[in-house]
Amino acid sequence: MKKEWVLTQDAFDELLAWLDADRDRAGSKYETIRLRLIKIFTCRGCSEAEELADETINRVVARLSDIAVDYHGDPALYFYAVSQKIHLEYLRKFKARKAEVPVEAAADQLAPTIHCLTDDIERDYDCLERCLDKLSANNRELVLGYYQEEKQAKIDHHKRLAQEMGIAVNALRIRAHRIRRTLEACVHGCLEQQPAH
Amino acid sequence: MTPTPEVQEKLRRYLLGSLGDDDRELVERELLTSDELFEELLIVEDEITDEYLAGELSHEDRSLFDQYFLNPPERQEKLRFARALNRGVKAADDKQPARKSSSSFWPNNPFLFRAAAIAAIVVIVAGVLWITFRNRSTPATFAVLRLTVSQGTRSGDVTEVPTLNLPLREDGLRIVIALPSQSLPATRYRVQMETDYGDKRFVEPVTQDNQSLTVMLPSGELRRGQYSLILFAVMSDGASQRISGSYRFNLQ
Repeated sequence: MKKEWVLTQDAFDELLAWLDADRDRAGSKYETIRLRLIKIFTCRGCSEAEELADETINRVVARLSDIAVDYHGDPALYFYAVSQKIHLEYLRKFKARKAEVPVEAAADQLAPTIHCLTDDIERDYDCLERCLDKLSANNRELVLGYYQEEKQAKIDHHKRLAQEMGIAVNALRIRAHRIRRTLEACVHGCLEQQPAH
Repeated sequence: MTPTPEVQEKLRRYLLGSLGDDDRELVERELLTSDELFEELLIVEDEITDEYLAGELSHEDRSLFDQYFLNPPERQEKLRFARALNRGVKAADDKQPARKSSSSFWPNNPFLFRAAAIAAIVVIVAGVLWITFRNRSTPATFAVLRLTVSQGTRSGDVTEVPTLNLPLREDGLRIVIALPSQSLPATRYRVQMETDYGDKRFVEPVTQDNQSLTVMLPSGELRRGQYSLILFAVMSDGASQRISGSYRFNLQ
């Protein structure tokens, strides 16, 4: 998406001041809003989720002097309202772009997807092993133990694990997921450092 | 919005793109303001990905996964990671010593011992049969190939044909076939697979909706060659009609 407005330091400071009087808390709120906007655009099936989130933020900042004084409520919801407009614009552009692409060209565009899903499995696994080694022994054991088994056996397995650890099943689920997220971020970092074959 | 089973189900529907507009807006507003719900969304997203890899999604959800969930590049990355993690978990499980001590497990009574041994054999045979049939119908891991229709002939068509390298590292190949936009009002479809080495047979779709259908080929059945899939629309009166064009790919 084409950006028509560039975020300056002054405008960014103004945004932070609107989000919270405490600058550190404001920075954290900004990061949270941005991350969640990206996720929302992703969940709507947008392939340019990050750009759309940044465009949403830019639009809010551009109107900040008009809204900051009179706006009441959680600023995150104002971002949400703007993101709805951005999404509609995206859909319009997407439809127009899709109509212009001939069928043959659309078929050609499928090839990279196939490459992405079938290649580099060894590279992914090597990175995973490295990242597993970076986890503490307890976390490694937990994440590898948690994701064993399938279907009903998985449910029973989680109950048994939670019982052994003396915590609720949902607490275990959250703990395993947090370790998984750390692991996933590590694997992405590892893959970015390695050249693709 | 506490993550009750109902909320989890709503998040699943949201992630698979099958939630109504009003509910979707409610979920999204809450996602922006609730840390708890946002974390729950991330967990459910991972769980859906794992269920997809394990072949545990219903036909309908699998179709939504292929058509909607997997569209953003970030989700394809997630699938790659989940597949690597799956492999890591299996490798760790293989390395683990037997979890139960043999001395406490086996009964001292010879009759009980014999009965336990017979029961164990029955369970093992049933397990082997179950695993065999389960693997035949739903491979644990698979490569995904998305195909759109080609109208030209094999020699004259300039459209690049997707090519995969054998052997696949996955257990199977999942082929998602996009139906032509003006397809016939069929009750279901049949897929005929032809190869340049003379194999010609029908493959049953594992999922089907208005926009696409999916067929699954176990890795063990794949050989190098040119493949062509031809669709037949089966009408409500049972008559079938060929859909023009074919869906082609190569295995090398």
